[in-house]
Amino acid sequence: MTNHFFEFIGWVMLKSARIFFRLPDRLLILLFCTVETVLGWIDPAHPGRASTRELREVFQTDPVGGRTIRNFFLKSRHAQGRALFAGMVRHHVRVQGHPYAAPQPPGPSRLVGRQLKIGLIGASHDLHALKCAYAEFGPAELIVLDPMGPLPDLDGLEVARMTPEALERMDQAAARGMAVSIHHTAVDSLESLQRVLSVAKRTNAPFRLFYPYFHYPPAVKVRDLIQQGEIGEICHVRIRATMGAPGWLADHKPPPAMDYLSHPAFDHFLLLADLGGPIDTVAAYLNPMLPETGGQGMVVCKFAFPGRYGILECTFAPQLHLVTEHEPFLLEAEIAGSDGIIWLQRGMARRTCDAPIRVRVGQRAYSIGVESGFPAQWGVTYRSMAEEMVHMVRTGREPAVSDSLLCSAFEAREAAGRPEAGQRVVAL
Amino acid sequence: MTVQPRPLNVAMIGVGDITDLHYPAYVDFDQAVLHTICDASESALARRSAQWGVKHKATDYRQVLVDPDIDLVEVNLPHHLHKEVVVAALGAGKHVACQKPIATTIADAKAMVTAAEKSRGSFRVLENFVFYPPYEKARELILAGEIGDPLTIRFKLGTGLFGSRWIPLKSELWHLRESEKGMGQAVFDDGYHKLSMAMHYFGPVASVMGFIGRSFNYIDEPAQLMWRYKDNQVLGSFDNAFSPNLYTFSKYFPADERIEVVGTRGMIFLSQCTGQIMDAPPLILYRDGKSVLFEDLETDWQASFTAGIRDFPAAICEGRQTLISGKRALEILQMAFALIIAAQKGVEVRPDEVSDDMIAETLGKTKPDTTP
Repeated sequence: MTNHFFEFIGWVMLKSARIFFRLPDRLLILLFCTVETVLGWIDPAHPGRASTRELREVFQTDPVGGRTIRNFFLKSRHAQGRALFAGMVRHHVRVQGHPYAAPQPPGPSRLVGRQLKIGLIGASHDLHALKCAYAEFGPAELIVLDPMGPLPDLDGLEVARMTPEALERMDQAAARGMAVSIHHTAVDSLESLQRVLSVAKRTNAPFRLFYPYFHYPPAVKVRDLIQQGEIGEICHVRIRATMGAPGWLADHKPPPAMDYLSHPAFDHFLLLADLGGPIDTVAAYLNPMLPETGGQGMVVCKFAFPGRYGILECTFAPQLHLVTEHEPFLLEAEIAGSDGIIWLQRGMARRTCDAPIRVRVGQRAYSIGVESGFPAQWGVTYRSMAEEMVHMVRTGREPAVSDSLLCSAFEAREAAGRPEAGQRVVAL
Repeated sequence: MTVQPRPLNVAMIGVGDITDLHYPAYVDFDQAVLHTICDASESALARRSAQWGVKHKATDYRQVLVDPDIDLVEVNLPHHLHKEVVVAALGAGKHVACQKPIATTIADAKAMVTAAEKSRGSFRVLENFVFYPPYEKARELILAGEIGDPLTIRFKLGTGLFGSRWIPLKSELWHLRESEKGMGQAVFDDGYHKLSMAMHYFGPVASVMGFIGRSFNYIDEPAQLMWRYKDNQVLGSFDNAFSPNLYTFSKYFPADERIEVVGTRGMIFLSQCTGQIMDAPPLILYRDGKSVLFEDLETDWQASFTAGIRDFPAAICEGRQTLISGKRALEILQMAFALIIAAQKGVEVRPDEVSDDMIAETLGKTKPDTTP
């Protein structure tokens, strides 16, 4: 009790005086040591005291003239003091949901009321889901095109597989001012992405790279939370993609080297860049992924933003059972910041019925999920994707994902695939 | 190794903060009794003597080593002092338990391992995580094939500044001075625990790479590290993050520690150790579409110290080696240095090739300060 009383005094002194930050080092050291000495007199069980000599030595070794070390100690002593009073303050740990922020309705448009026609080039394993999505959110009709035939009169073009013919149709579509959407699996290299981006820029056609996690509502929400500063300054982004059984890989040949780093294994360079920002340096340990025995890979990265690091981990677990609405690809993300942590707990598949988003920040904890009416079904991704395309067609406005971010993701992917990435870090 | 018919008499050399967690292991323990405490500080000795009821005190460890009544010596000193005392104690034929990390240089660690091989006493490095009940249970599940063949293992360390007991300024200062010697608080010191678990689960490590950042110029966080194992295809990763404003509940230190293991048919999640940031079972096994929650495991961090400390006298009586051996402790030390070097140089490093010369060249230092 007595110990706490004097610790309280110390806390009050620290709390009430921003002037402490302006005190000369000697006086601050003396203050720290005085508080500790008094504590030692009052309570023999109080552990050994720091000496002024020790403190002074540490201050002197600080390369920033003692400022960082003093700030650290003041912050830590302040935090210790706060903790002492945590028990005296009634705090509520809430489970609260955030209402799902519906995307902004389309702006004024010359095309309202007319059935839109969106062409699709290339096979898509989620064709039925796409068709339904367009019908629901258009009204728009998805028309599968013959890639060898002429480009009909359409409002937009979806490209699911990039062939020379598809590229030609894309050029034509862009030249006509049609909205163009390229499925991320159709772009297999940075060069081909840049080619596509340059066409879009040249023609001023609205363009997007379709990547499902730009539309999956929990992933969108996580991005929003980060951008709002909910967990403070981000220092670490972790994404784990786990493919389970019965899995894509069980039905397909093992992918060649470059494909290994894209669909469906390491798709998520785009999400990594989306959450952490442009990527600066990567290193990778990649093991083969085989249908019978599974496999895994890890790509660690340093983001361009100082003091931010990340990892993209991909695992193929051939007997892992996952609940899924589409394919057994589980995506989990954990983002750590100065104030807290956000977890994204599901993607296309899930392994837990927990809410899709959990947040710990400060002394609060909450989740965002069905309790708050938040849509987390995978099917919403397609609806959101269709809605965005219709919005692009109607308003000519592109989604807010920058070209540089897309390029950074693809560049990181290519760098991770280089043989030297397994022996040294590779700068982008 | 002869069977000891009476409780072993233990001497603690160094009675700093960490021994708050050691002492309870000797309460009501019939295989060993805390006989003597030794510290250079008389006031610390007086305090501990009053606290623990230990009558025999010494200010010089040499007095302890010549005492024929002492069977087992615990070395709980600053890291750079481990070698001198451990080698002397082993030379005196005592059983020796040394707090982690084993040493601050490879040469010192090797000297300790060599001394142990020549001594009639047993030697171990106390790394308590391997005795933490949920971690032990998880290892059992992995070895039993519950998650199939392991594929990846992840260690997470998140440190906060509040939520735990009052951390004395002296302790914080000590940690920062260790950092000044080139070894980081998070990756080297606390990270030793994670690397120990990494090897305890899947064996020695072949190569490492990664990044280590800095907070407040001192703390080696955030970091993202990864490694390959020698004897299997498992990949491991260790990431740490500094979240000063995140309330990290703990009775000890505000550290959020989690382990995740993915196998070919299941996953294991361990949600706490020193601290706890979420209300979740300590161990979850996910397999075949079901989650098995292990809710009845002992989760107090103290339990790992108690179990670990008590296992040594038991091992001595039974004639077996307890965890962790000097050789393993050396491997972990090499891995820790390898991670630091890999992060500094941006290259892959093999832990078994790490030498003091490499460390000195990379960290720009000669041998760490060995002044007591």
